[in-house]
Amino acid sequence: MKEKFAFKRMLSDFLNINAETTLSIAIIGTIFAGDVQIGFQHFFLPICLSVIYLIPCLPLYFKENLAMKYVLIQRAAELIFIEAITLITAYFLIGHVLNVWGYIAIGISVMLFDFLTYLLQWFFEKSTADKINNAIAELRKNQTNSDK
Amino acid sequence: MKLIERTIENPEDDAIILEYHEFTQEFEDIKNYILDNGQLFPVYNKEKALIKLKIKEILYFEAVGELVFAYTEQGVFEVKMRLYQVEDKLEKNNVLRASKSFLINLYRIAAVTPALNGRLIATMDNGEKVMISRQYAKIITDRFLKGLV
Repeated sequence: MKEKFAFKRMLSDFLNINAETTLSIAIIGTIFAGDVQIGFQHFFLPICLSVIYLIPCLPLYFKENLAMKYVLIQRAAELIFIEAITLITAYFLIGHVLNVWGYIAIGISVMLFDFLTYLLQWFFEKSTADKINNAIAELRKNQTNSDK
Repeated sequence: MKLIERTIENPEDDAIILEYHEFTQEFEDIKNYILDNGQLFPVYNKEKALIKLKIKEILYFEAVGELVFAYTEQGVFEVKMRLYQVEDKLEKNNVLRASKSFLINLYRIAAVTPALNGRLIATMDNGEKVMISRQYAKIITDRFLKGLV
């Protein structure tokens, strides 16, 4: 069951990363290399990058209770890994039209997307926790009333 | 011991009457069972004596190696069952799996806060914190949102 759960999470994250990668490539490419001619093989790029980006996330899928410290280390390593792969890919694909500001823009956008993803995740988790806390308060109130 | 049952007219007069010559342990067990509606769980104290705790007193269960322990505000007690057996027995009492080694009594959670990576931290009534892993957070969340019985 644990492996099935890990696989479902991996698949869900793969689809999310794929969407983010496709969006990033589309935006950056449109802004900095709108006239570049690409072949159909480039459509495989988001899928390949998504598989590569999952690599630093593997400890999270298979290690159930990673301590907070290690989760933060994993996230920092993940961001550095993603930045490196993205910049290297950008260099090989559109390096001939990209200047320093282009690389900086890619680096910042990757960091921003990564941060926004976790911020959104935290927002939903906080919302869930608040709903649970409201349910707990309601339950305790009912228990107090029934005791009276 | 005889068992006497009789029907009565008025439902408001429903009662269980214990008649005894001497109030023995047997009668005490019956009385406790009635009062607690069967909500007792057998554990062993430090002197290895069997006692029965009210389920609502138990904050959480933890498996440490081959042993399972029940944690209350009064102390820690050993349980002579495997964790999955405790889980099967007490699931209907809203004691649910929080992680691989923990079962948590939902009635004794004071508050919940989000932790990293989809996990939740449950603060119990005595201030202790128990991590609810991502795998079980959804099940516990659903149980709370559907309303604990």
